Amino acid sequence: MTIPNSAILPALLMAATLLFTILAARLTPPGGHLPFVAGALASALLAWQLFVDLRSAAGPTPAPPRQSRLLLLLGLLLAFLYLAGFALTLPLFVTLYWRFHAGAAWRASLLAGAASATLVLTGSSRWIDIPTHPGLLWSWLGS
Amino acid sequence: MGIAEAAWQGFLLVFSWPNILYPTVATLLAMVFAFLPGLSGITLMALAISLTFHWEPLPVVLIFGAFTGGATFMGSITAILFNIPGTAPSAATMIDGHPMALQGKARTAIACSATASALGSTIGVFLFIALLPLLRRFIMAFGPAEMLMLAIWGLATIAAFTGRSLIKGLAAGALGILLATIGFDPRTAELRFTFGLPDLHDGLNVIPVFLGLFAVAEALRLAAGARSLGGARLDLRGGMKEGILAPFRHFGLLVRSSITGAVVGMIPAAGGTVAGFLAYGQAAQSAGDKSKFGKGDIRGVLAPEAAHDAKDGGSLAPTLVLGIPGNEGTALLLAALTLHGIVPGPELLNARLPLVFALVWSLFYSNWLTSLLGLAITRPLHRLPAVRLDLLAPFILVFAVLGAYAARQRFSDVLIAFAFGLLGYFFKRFGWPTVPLVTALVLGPIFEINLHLTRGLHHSGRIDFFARPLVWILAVLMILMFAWPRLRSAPTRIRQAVQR
Repeated sequence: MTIPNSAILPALLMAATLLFTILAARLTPPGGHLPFVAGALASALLAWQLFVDLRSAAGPTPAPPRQSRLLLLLGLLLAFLYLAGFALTLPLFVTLYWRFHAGAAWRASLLAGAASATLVLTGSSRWIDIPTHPGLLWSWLGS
Repeated sequence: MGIAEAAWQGFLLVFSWPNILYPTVATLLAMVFAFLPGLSGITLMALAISLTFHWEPLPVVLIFGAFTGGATFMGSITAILFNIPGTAPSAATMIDGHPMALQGKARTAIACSATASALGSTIGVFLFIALLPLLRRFIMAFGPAEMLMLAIWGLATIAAFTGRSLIKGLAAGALGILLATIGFDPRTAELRFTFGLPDLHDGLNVIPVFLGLFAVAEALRLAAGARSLGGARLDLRGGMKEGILAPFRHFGLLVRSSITGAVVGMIPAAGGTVAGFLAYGQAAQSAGDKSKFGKGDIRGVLAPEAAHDAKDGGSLAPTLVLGIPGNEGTALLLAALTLHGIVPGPELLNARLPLVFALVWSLFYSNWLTSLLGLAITRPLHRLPAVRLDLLAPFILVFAVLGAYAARQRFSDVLIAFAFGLLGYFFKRFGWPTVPLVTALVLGPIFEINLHLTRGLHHSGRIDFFARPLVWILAVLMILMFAWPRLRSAPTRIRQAVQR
């Protein structure tokens, strides 16, 4: 599907979110006064912004060349973080990103991965004590 | 506790071993982040908030004071050398700094910038200390009604952050208020917008939201396109001595610009960019020979640099006294302080005054350290922009993931950080401002709680909202702040109308 003016997308998405919150706020009146007022005000502003965007002569906003791949990568990263945990996923992600997304050499990519592994392991060590997500898979295998 | 005693205790807290290590390391980190275009001190602060969550308050105060001061000067080096401001406020320095570099006076410009920023920050910090007794008395008279007025003032300043589109800024602000209402209603304890998810009962945690909007969004932007500056190298010629002496030769301009910067810093939402350009404009207006401005006049480097750094001292006043963040940096500073139980207001300015001074001395120290180190390492630094910035993106993501999870050990916070990262990325791509959203998210709960408290107290006859002098003073100040640009230009407009 071709969107004639992709600049309207943020306003469109925000308008949908706000309309939803207004409806939700109406269902719970006592706690919903402030959200209702803020939501109604923002909806009116967004309707105005949509009108401005639709009237503007600007054509489709070109997306950066690697944007779609990047968003897919981000989705995969989240899924792997949840399933395999931080200690495995983060160094793997850095290595693969350097090699395949940024086009770095294998040796540099592996070094970057090792650096991030050191970072995660040092961070989660007793000395610094930054907690890390163990991963659903490891928890399940361990149980 | 007296001001002098607290100042001495704060000084000892910073300049003792091993405490001094915190601001030193933080300054070095802030220098690197501020120097690399695409990254900023804000990204570093957003990452640090979460990673220091389990720390004691003092080290957090020391490193955030250093981040605030350390990130300021380094952005000017890229502005002077490459015509690319490392931070937005350095844009004013660029106007005359880069032409100086092109004329072979890059080192003179950098030396002048370093000296002016160190001296400017000193004036800003001492102005804040001088005003502190007055501010302490002022804050003691604050109740819910005054806090409500302050929250309204803070929310109204969103209009100043809107960038090119007022509608977009206000809509983003309203979205921020809505997001701030997630969780328990402060009056009825009803759950709002939680959709049955227990992780949302306490509302949105600001750490993953800030990490998302500032760090994840920045990483996405770098990974999607920005690679490097091309690595053009300039010959660093020009005398350092001339640059170091320039602020002393134009001492009046230095003091004037620093006071301008400190005063602008005290006004919420005005920020370093306004301070820099205002000081630049004043320098150009008051100069006898204006023809050199914009073509490499050293006064055009001196004035914005002094104002920009003096602003840091000034911006501590609304942040520490009233809890109103004046800009992105102080919003993150405020978030870091409140997360460690350091709440701005009377308690902080009385019982915990040495901690305030520890922050002030840390900022002061980092400003001087940045200037001295910046001077010393100018030559090797000018090769750094050749680094491919997209290679840094996964490391920023690693820090963001660790930071988002560390605060509450919930995977949902990582999801929130990524969701806000996408929001921040698309906001930036389509020209929507993020600062109104963040400001509203921080001030929304303060507004709501004090609105209910004031309403209740007023209706029960415990207070008369309209009879409180501070409420009126704040209302007049708020109106004056918004009307000031028009009032200031009124005589000129009248003169023009009469001439016509």
